[in-house]
Amino acid sequence: MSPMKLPYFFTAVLLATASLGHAAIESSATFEVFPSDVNLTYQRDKQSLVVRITEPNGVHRDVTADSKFSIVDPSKAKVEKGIVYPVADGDTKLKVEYQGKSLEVPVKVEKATADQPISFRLDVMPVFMKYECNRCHGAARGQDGFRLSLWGFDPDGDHYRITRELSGRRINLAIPEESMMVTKATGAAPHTGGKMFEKDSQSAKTFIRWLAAGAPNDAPDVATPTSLEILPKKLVLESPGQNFHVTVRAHYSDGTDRDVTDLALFLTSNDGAAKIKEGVVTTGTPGEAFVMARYATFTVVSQVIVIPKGLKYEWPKVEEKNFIDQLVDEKLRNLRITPSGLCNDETFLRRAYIDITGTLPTSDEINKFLGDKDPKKRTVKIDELLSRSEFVDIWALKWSELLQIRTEQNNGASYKAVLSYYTWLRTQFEQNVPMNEVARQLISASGSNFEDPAVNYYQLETDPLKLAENTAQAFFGIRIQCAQCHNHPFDRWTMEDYRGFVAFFTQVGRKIGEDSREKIIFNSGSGESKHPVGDRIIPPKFLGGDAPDAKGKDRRQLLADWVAAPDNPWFPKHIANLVWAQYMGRGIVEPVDDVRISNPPSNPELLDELGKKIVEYNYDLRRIVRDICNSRSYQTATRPNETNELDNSNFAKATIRRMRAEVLLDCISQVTDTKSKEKFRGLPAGSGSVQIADGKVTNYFLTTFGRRDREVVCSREEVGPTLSQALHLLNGTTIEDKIQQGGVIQKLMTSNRTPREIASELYLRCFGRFPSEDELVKLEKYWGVTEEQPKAYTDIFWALLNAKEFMFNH
Amino acid sequence: MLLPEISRRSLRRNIVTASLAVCALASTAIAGSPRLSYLTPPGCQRGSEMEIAFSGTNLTDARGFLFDEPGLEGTITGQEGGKVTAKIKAAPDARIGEHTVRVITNSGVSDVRLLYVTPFPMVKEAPEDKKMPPTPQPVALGTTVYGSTPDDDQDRYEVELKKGQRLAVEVIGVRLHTQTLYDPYLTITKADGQILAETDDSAFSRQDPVASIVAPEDGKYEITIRDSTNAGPGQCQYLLNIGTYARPLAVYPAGGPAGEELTVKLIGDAMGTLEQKVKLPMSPTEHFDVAFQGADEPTPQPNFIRVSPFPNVLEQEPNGDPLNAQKVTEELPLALNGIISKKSETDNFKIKAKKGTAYDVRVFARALRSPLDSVLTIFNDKGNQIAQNDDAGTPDSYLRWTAPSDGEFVIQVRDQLMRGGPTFFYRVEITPVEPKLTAWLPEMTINQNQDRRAVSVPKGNRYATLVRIKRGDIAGEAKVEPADLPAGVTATAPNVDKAVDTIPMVFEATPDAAPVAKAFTMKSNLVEAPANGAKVTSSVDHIVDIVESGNQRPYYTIHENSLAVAVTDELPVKINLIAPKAPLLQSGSLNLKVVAERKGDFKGPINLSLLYSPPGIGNAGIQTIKECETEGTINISANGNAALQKWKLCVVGSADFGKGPVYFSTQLQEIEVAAPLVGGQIVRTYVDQGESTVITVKLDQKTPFEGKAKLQLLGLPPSTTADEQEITKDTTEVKFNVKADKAAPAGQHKQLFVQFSLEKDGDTMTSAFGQGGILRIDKGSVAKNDEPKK
Repeated sequence: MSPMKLPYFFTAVLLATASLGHAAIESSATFEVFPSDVNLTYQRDKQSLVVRITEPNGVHRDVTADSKFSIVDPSKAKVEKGIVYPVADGDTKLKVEYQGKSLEVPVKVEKATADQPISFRLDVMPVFMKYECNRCHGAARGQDGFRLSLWGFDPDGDHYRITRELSGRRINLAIPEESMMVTKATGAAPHTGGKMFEKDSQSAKTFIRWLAAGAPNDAPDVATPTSLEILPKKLVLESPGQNFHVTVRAHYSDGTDRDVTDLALFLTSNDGAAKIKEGVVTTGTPGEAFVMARYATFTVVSQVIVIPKGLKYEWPKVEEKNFIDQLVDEKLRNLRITPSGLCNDETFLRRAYIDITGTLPTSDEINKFLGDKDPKKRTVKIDELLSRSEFVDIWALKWSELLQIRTEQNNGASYKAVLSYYTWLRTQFEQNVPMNEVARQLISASGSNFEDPAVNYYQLETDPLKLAENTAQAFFGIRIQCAQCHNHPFDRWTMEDYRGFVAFFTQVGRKIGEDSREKIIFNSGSGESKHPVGDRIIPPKFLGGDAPDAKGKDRRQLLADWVAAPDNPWFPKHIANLVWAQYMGRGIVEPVDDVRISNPPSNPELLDELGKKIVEYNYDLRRIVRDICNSRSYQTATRPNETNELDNSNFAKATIRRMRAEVLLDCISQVTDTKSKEKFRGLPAGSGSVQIADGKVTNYFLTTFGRRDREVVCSREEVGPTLSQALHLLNGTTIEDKIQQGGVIQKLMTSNRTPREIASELYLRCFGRFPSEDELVKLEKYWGVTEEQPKAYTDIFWALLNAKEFMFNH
Repeated sequence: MLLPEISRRSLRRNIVTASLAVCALASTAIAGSPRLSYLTPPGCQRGSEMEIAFSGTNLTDARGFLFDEPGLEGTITGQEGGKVTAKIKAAPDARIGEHTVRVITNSGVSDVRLLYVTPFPMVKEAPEDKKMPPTPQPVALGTTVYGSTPDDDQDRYEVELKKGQRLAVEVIGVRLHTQTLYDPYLTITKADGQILAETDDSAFSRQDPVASIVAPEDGKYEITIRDSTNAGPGQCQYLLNIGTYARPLAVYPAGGPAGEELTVKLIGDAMGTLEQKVKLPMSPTEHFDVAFQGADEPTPQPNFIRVSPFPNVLEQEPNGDPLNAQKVTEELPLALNGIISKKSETDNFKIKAKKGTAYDVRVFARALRSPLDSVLTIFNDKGNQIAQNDDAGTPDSYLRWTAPSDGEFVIQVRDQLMRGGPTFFYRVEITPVEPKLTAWLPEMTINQNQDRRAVSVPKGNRYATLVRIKRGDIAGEAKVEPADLPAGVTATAPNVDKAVDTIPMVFEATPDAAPVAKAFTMKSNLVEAPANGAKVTSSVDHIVDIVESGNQRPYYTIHENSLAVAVTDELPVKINLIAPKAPLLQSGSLNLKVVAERKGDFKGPINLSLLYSPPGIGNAGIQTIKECETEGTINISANGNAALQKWKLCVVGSADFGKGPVYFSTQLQEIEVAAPLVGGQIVRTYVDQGESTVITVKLDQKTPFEGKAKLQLLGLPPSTTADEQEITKDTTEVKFNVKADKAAPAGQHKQLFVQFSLEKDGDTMTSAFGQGGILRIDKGSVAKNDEPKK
């Protein structure tokens, strides 16, 4: 194990080795019980336990069924089949034994003789969630005449519709078992959704008990769930068919907790690798899955790594250049995957040029690099590329997309405003302004959109809801859109969270300047965000954070300071992920703008560490890029080995990526010497397409190759190969015309070079490498006849530009 | 709302320089109303002559120019396509800066455009060699360069400076009128490329950049101009004043009492703050030029300040909060002057006000080209806010404020975004409310602000225009009288009724009136003097859009305090409005007859339109006197609530005599709106499809009339007919026989009404009554329609 091991592994885990000392039978195996404490309140409470053995090869076994459980003081609690029940108030201990290992878990019992009153929110509504009643009936107009709020965002409304709407139809308080809500769910009455659970199931009993109690709504002070945990949080299992059960526990605002394994809705991110049903994980093929439990408004995740059964795997000695490689390797070791080797110098050079600057190395630069004997030449080259203005262009482009910099008739974004916004953004990257400062300036911006271009952030979008959504997506990678109308089904965001975040954007004042294109943004000091259910005013609250005291303050300034603060839970990691994805071709959270509990990072330790580094580096983009590009993980070859062939998410090999549209066009212009001839609307002739300020500028080539129009907050292009892309390169005007316009062939033919040198020059220009002898021999017959030579070279040039090797960064 | 504007001097004198011999240029066809788009170059050196091309439409019969001031003269030298060229001569003492010019043609007066008189020789941008890399064009210091930067063009100029020498550069671009906004960008660099000044917009001259630097060393310096978005529109001309002149951006204080000598600071120049004494004119003005006198070269665009009839108060720090305000000892009215010199600063003045007196508290900052976007707040002596304004149609704040008690109040000025800086000057004028009447010629054509905004009267004919007035803090019937009209030109207009703000005014020129063009004014007065004896001031404030942006929104406008009139060539047609014998009845209509006197061989059609519809009166839009015909009608109608009074109306004619429309008009004619003679109600009934019925109308005789009037039942559903009925003043009930065809649509029909018409001396007066009458059409009963089968 590497010394970089992070506390994440240990969260809420009680390590048996700690209490047993040297008594372990298998010296390297660990023995753990989850949860590490048992709290029982009221007579119906219970707590299921999970006992886990970690074998020396890291594989986990569920030994709950084979363990022996005993209560130290049986007058306080009892245990049956790994489930603890209350007997009387007081504290005791649960002893768990397995093959000579033993462990004690503290048990606390309160109100053991009292029966907790049945609650609509805490008992009945979780059943709706578990059986997804409130998904189907949660449609805007309900389903088959009955409507519940989607994922239960409106408990009072749900209570009203069950008990009062169509009075007497859905409930029968005299004979609760005959209530339609019971008969439909148990299949006793026809139900389009089918039978959900058995008549004698716990869920049916809950319904009946609630009805028997008079179908009460909850008192206003009923406890609300505050957090949820799934245990264990990480599993390494063998394929196929290994079972492991988990336990899910909810914590409430009154300080109590409750085993909700029975009530949770379970989901998996990868059915092939691991299924989960009723809390039991069953492995399939080797791979990785995230199993999720959903209860109330919470979703929690446990990572399951599935490795081949009985695999004899030995971790090879691989070079670790920095912390990145250590964390990548740690995960790879767990997965039994060996990373590919380092790529060669030509590949590295071309890859770094495209990724860092969006350009290709010239033949002189390639020759110089290949001839350089300095062992640190890759690091030196990375530093050189980072100092070039093209690095700034790439990041200005990327953020122009995230900030949706584009002209728009409807929102009054003139080209002048857009150009000054872009220019401002580019200047931030040029001057290496810390990323948190850029965010702070954008979010807190006030002033004229000509003089203080950052305010265009509030002009390109004027709807407070959209502003909140865009801010969450651009700066945190979080999509909160769902929570506008209902609690987020696969994430933690409630409507309350959403409206609280929107409240930061409801006091943006706008007025027109002397020039009708000029817009002045200011803090108007008035305007509130209201909850759609009940029209309550929701004060500003940070997403996943506190509600600040905003009285008399500029709310956007408060938000900006929170985003820019080093302890912000989202921003540093999101920036880290964005940067990582730019250079590695795939985010640690992928897609980069879909951070949610149900889409967890493939390597959380790596993401955490990169986030910490960003803060440590004072949000200096260049420093984190330097770390990434200097890592072995970045410089790995794309060629797979047999262990990493099927893995795409753990950075065991480099990703083959098509150049993005703008870079591809600029590279074609570069190799054909036609850069000075390009003219985009609103830019001086000779500007590159990466410098296009306005998303609305159209260009056939760029559109065909998936350039974003910046209508939505997203910087990923649609690069999927299309027929028009292929046809445009083959038959379209771009390549043909540029070869003619640039006159590269004529220049080479008059430059005193041999045919082989001409061919090599073309290879260097396009592929960043010399042609192989084999290739040269094949090509030689084309230029054999002198009169045919210009055409032959033109054809070779054309063929190289049409080759996959040119279009892809590899 | 309009933006703050540079107020313009009056058109002091008519200057028609082209001799009548130039008429030879005009073809026999009479050109249509002239429109002027732009001038190339749009400037002229003082004391010299410049050949300038005037581009637009219908300019071919140009005969001269109308400038805003003496000292400018023009001689037409030729024409080509839509352009007219002329030699424009500026006298050695012509005022430096912005002037207005109109082209006078034989058929009309063109739009106003701007012409800049510069102290410097004018040099044209050198043609660019597309094949060669561009090199900067050397120019001497003290030059006005003219050129253009369409699309992504960049023009570069080079000057030589000695260390410590000032270089001032100002661009005049956006003000030169292009359809889409031209937005120049200016850069000054050292020969090695180091940027010394880079500027796009400025409060001083909006989108036109202005900069001054002090040369750090001897050597060459480069000036680059381009469009800020690399997308200059086609006609994007610029004037570039390059020299060593002083270029302040602010004057402090920005105004002073009339007739006094004022010491002002000129702030914002590269050499630092300059100071000089200014002798203010004896009468108040909103625009008094201030230029630094100490430099070798005069400043080509002077700053300007206000001259007021009341004293100045200058700010004294500390005055940073309402409870620590600067105490003003002078009585109102007065002007507070200050500078918000740094971020987050507020200036506070404690003034004395009298309970119940209404004051106008107005900030002048952007109006005088200060970058300040003011917020004006009034606090009571306890520091509680009692009134606040940010913008009042412009970035400058304004409050109409009545003091709630005798005592002290604090006037606070700050920037809306809490900005500040050395040029953030302001002036707050606190004056008692004074009634005033303002008159101007309103926009005639939607989205064409300058179309027909001047008076061009054909010899021996008439021309009509709308005149609009604004009553400031006064109400009642007013009259507007033109003054200083050319010889042989008279004007007639009705009084401005208390309920309206617009009147038609008809100008008439005698057949022998001389073909002059000149400025004239209008005097407005209340017909009955105000009861409180308040003095009502009168002025002309004619606002014209020079540049518009974003959906015809005024961007650069000028305020003229006089109007333009020209006597134009005779027309081969004259129109007269025949006085109607009958009144226009409420809920009725009336045909106005227009007769054309055609002369010579003009046979073309004549378009007619009612120039002005009083409240409650409508018209059917443009009508035509057909080719070769001499009579036409304009139908006017009154709604049921139209006021029972007399109005004066006139009809405007326009005809194309070969080159676009020329406008002329009838005389003013009085029309009376009268109450209907008969009213009544339709008794609701029903009819089966294919059957007949009788609809009874109960009449309400209001005014006895002579003879027989005709009644028609209108608004019937399709396939339903009714006969006509005749009534006399004694008829009390009418029965219409109504026949519903089988195809008549079944259902309730609620649009029935009765049309009354009565002939009077050859005119027909009509009115309608009984609106909303109901006829139900039923499907025939089964028994009737389908005989039982046997």
